[in-house]
Amino acid sequence: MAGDIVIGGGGSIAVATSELFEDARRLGDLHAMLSNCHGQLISIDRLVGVARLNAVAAPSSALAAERAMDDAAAALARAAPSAERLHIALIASADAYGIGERVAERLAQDVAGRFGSMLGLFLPTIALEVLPALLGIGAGVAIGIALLPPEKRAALFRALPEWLRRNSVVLTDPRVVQLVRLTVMSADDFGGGVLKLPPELVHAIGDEGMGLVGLASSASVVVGVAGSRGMLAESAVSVMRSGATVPATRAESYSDRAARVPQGAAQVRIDRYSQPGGPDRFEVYVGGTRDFSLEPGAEPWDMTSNVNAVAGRETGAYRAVTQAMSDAGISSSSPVLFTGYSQGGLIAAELAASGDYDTRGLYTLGAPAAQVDVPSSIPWVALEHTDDIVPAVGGSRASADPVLVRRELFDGRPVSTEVMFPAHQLAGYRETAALVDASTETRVVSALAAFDRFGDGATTVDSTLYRGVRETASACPAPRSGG
Amino acid sequence: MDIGTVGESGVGLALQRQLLALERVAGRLATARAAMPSQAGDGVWSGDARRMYVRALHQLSAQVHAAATHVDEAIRDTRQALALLAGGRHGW
Repeated sequence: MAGDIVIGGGGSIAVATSELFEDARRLGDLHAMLSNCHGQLISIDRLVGVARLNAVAAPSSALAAERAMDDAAAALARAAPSAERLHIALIASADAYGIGERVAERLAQDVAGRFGSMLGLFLPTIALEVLPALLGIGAGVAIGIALLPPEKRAALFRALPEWLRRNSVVLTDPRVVQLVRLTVMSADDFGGGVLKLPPELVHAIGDEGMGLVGLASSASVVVGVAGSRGMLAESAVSVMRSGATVPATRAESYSDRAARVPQGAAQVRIDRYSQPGGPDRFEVYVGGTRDFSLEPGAEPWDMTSNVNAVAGRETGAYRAVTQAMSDAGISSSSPVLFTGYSQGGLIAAELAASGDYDTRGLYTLGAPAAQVDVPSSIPWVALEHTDDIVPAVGGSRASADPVLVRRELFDGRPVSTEVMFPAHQLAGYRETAALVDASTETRVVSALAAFDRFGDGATTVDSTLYRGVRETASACPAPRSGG
Repeated sequence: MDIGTVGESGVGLALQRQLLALERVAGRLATARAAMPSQAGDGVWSGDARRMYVRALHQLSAQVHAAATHVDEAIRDTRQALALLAGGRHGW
């Protein structure tokens, strides 16, 4: 339903809409109240009693009151268990849905993995069968494009993003998003098949088995292949303050934090909470991808950082954030709360998982961070739109179990064609964050309470924006451990 | 049989205590009714499951409403009994 948020994870198997959890809470409270009223009525009944009233020939209205109390007690004796049964039914349905969803996800991933493995194994045979046709079609298209006058060819390439925007409804279909998630998770199985590894072995060492290879391995292959063509190559970065440090206020809600994620030239915002006699605490906000080209330019928040991050490598954007944090005075013992959107969420999750900081909380919006192994001791709230393709690129959840809040942004309303990934826009996530603020579901409420306690006692808050840029000299970093 | 004044019999005092306790219960029931989930069942399941849930909520609401009505009746009757006792008029 439009506007519904579905809440799961956070150490619980229950998955349901915020409304369902709210109804369950209300029915639990109602059961307690009705039981209490029932007990009160029984006690009141003992105050006087029909026998005593008869003995003193009390007014008939006194006896009528006794009968009315008996009727009320009888009605409450039915109502209190009814409320309890409904409360239990709602909780049980949320648990059953959560279990069912988990089983269905694993089954789908298992089937997709085996399909990928078989596809890779039989690729040469399949290729031989379909190659002539593919070559014919491909050659025809290529020749057609090549024969176009240069200006028309350029116009065709210019029109491609526009075409994608116009057809964004396809990329915003939750089924397509799920297909993308399964495809990226099966890429390692496909690779195993291409290498002629037995399907059972591929299955055993893949995501569905021991997890020795998986999405990170697949992304590493992409980085390796692309690197040989001068693409997705990492480089050194430098960071500078983007303007003066300015006074700020404490962040106090999910939507407030979402609103603080930087969107302009600066990619990082660091808010410092100071208090007399205590260490400074920091809220670090990391923005999303700025440059979608495959060849690295000056912008570290690019596809190079995206793919390298999924591959588990240290990225320019990651290093830019750590440099900004260092400039802000954040040490390994400084309490930090991370908020990140899109690629910024992935970086935030990796920083939290690195163990290099005293991370007190993590809040991600539309982040492809499902595979990041964030310790369960760190409260993590992840917002994902089920029609947003970007979180799906991060694959399925591995070991981390964040409080996962999902919403189909364009359920019941037309998909915007003004941008390429309309369900991924920060404005949509800010809207969803406001819905999460309004939810009374226990997990999101307690996580927010923990986030908001972070600023307790702060007497001053100041805020600094940082901008990272890539340097021209190229350097290929080593794989990073963890994250 | 004349039960005499409220103070003499103790019944009047018991009825007064009953009235106060009933008014507290009525207040709690009003709170309970206000705290009931929306009868529309928005966002909770769909299809047959939602229809069954909404029907169960209606039944629960009717039960709570009936209890509240009976408590209101008990309050009214208790007040009437107290008034009769105070005025020395009572009987079947």
